Order: sequence, then C-alpha cells, then structure tokens
Amino acid sequence: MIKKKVILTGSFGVGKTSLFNRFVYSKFDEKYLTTIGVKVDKKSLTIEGKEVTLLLWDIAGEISQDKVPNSYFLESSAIIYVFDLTRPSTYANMEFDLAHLEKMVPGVLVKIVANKKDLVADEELENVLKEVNKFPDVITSAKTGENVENLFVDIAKSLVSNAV
Amino acid sequence: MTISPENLDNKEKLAQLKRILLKDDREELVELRKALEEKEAALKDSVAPMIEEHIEFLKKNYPEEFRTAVDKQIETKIRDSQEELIAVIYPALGAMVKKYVAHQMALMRESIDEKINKKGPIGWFKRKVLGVKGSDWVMAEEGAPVVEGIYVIEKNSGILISSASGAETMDEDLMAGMLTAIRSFAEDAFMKGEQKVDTIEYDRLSIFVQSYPTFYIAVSLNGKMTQGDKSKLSDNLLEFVNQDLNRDVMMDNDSKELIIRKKLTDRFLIEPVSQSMKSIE
Repeated sequence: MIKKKVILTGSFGVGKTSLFNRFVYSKFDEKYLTTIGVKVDKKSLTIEGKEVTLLLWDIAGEISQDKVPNSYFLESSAIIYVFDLTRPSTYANMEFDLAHLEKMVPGVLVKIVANKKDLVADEELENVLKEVNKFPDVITSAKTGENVENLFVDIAKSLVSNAV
Repeated sequence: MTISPENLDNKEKLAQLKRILLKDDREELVELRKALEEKEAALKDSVAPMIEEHIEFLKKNYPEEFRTAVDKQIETKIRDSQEELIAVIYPALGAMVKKYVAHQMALMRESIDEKINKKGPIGWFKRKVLGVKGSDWVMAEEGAPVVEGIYVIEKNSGILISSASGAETMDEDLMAGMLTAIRSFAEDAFMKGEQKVDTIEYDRLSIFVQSYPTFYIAVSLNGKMTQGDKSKLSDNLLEFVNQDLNRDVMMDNDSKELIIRKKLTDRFLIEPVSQSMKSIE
C-alpha cells in the first residue's frame, strides 16, 4: 500500500475545509484547526490496481504561507494551494506563497486550485484568471462538488506514477 | 375691584364653594398626616431593632431551631433521588479517586526505588542478581503503567510505518498524523533548538515518544510513568531499533509493515492490556 502526505493550504476562508469535507468524511472536530492549526484525515483510493492512501493535512488558513509552522509541510508529497475566485486578496500573494512552498519542500507536487466557482459568472471567471499570476490547475466548487473528486484522484495518480 | 357673587361665573362659584365647605376637612387631613408621620417614625425606631435582633437570632440559632426539619427534608430528597445523585457524583468522584491513586502509586514507587537504591549492596543484589527491581519487588506490579500500543511513525510526514496495539484505538493512520502534528506544533510553539517532546500525558494516559533520525516510536501507556520507567523503556526501544529495525527491514516497502508489526508484538506485548511492566522490561 502506498501512503502519501498531502497538504491543503491557502488563505483563510477560501474553502479548504469544505473541499476536504467534500472528499472525506471527517473524523476530527473542526476545533483542531483553531487549536493546533491542523486537522488530519485520510482517504484510500485504488489507482491502476494499487491502493493509495492520501493522508490529508488540512491547515488553518493564514494570510501568508510563511505564517504556517514550517514543520507541517515537511515530507509532504503534494500541496494543494487553494484560493477564492471571489476574493482577490486570496491570490494576491500567490507568487510569494508558491516560492515559499517550493523552498520548504523542493520539487513537491503543487496543485493550484481556484475554488468557489459557483459564486462567479463566466465573464468574471475569465477576468480573474487573467489577473492571477499562475493559471490554476483545477477550478472547483466545494459547494456543488464540481472537480473536487478529480482533483484528489489526479494527485493520487501523479503520486502513484512517481512512486513507480 | 370687589368680587361680588354676580361677577363670578359658575366654575369659580363652585371652586369657592368647595373651599368653604372642605376647609375643616382639609385641616383635619393635614393633622392626620402629621400624626401618621410621627407614628411611623416612632414605629420604625422601635420595630427595626426588633427585626435585626430576630435576624441575628436566626443566624445564630438556625441549626438548633430548624435542624430537624432541614435534616428531614434532605433525608427525604436523598432517599427519593438516589439514582440521580449517583449519576451526578460518580463520574467526577471516580476520575478523581483514580487520578489520586495513580499519582500516589507513582510517588510511592519512586520513593521505594529511592530507598532501595540507598540500601547499597543489598539493594544492588536484589536488583541485579535476583533480577528484581525496586518498586516492583515491593509492590509487584501494582500501579505500573501498561503498554497499550506501540507505533513506528515517519518523522516528518507523520505516516504510520507500522504498529501493534492491544487495545481498541481510533484509526492508527490518523492517530499517527495528529500525533505528529501535535508534536510539530508543540515544538514550534514552545521548544527551542533541539528539544523534542518526549512525553504527552493526559490524566491516566501517557504517550512516550522516542525519536530516531528518520522515524519516531510512540508508545501509549495506561498509567503514570516514573523516570525509571522512561529510562527502561527508552533502553528497550533502542535495543529494538538496533536489533529489529535494520536497513533491510526498513527498505522492504511491500512487507515492512507486517514484519515490524510481528517484531513489535513479539517484543513488547501485545496480549490483553493486562500486560504490565513486563512488557517494557
């Protein structure tokens, strides 16, 4: 069995926990996010006949990634960087944040996720995508579930192929 | 100008008539009010001390005067609500007693160890030759911490490498992840430099943590650990790591989980939780 640590991070209120809860049935109370700043859960998937367990670390939102305890990122196999399509402040620091993550975990698989698609019209979405420094890998809606499963399955696939 | 009855309109005439007719009554009313006020003041002066005196009397003599009635009420209430009372008191009382006993046991074991250590050659003989350790010699295994589970966890990722547990626990992968997160949090927030969290204690439960370069081992125990227990467990874990977790085992990705579980089970436990200090000796 392959086990991999995956981090969900991003500014506060971007919908990380909602994405997390969409994908797994959370066993821990949300209070851990406000106390120690992280909540761990897991989901097992079968990818190409191999069982992959994603250990998901949902990290409490901080305005900037350098405010998150560094040790939370150590030895992670993938990082999901989530921003909110409706709040420019959540992607304004993206370049700095991504550089910080790369410094913390060199070569780690990073997926940029634009969340809350259900709250923006097509035209607005286009405008936001022009504004952001980096084009998102996935555009999701934790509310409707759009692309949430795909996001995690794609990550699991990448991790399995890297593990081989 | 003189006011003659002819000049007055009806309203004024009525008012004047009232003044004339009620003059005596009004005077009488004023006198009555004055008398009442005098009486009230006099009454206040005489009654207030009586009330205060009575209150003082009740304060001093309440138990004697009302004890029988109150006792009867309490007796009746207790008799009628026994189950509710037990339900309220028992959990708190039970936990307090358990915690107190555990604490006293730990203190007693440390004290006995200390006394036996001071006995010099006799104590040494009993410990080394007869293989009997201080506190256990006296107290058998009373109060000793019981190993409930042992977990080998990747140091930074928090991924569980293997585990063996004699008790029903929550999902072990999640426990390993959260334990790693808690350690990271505590070390980031409170520790400086190379200090590491080696014990997490909660009520009767302890988690003893021993770190190695790429992984750490967490042992969950039911019971308070003395410094002696920690030292022995630490030695035993080191021996386990040196003998059983060799490079070949750790590199075997397909079966290391099972191999390590077997080794953990063989060495440390893991029969029913009633295993005692034997498991960490």
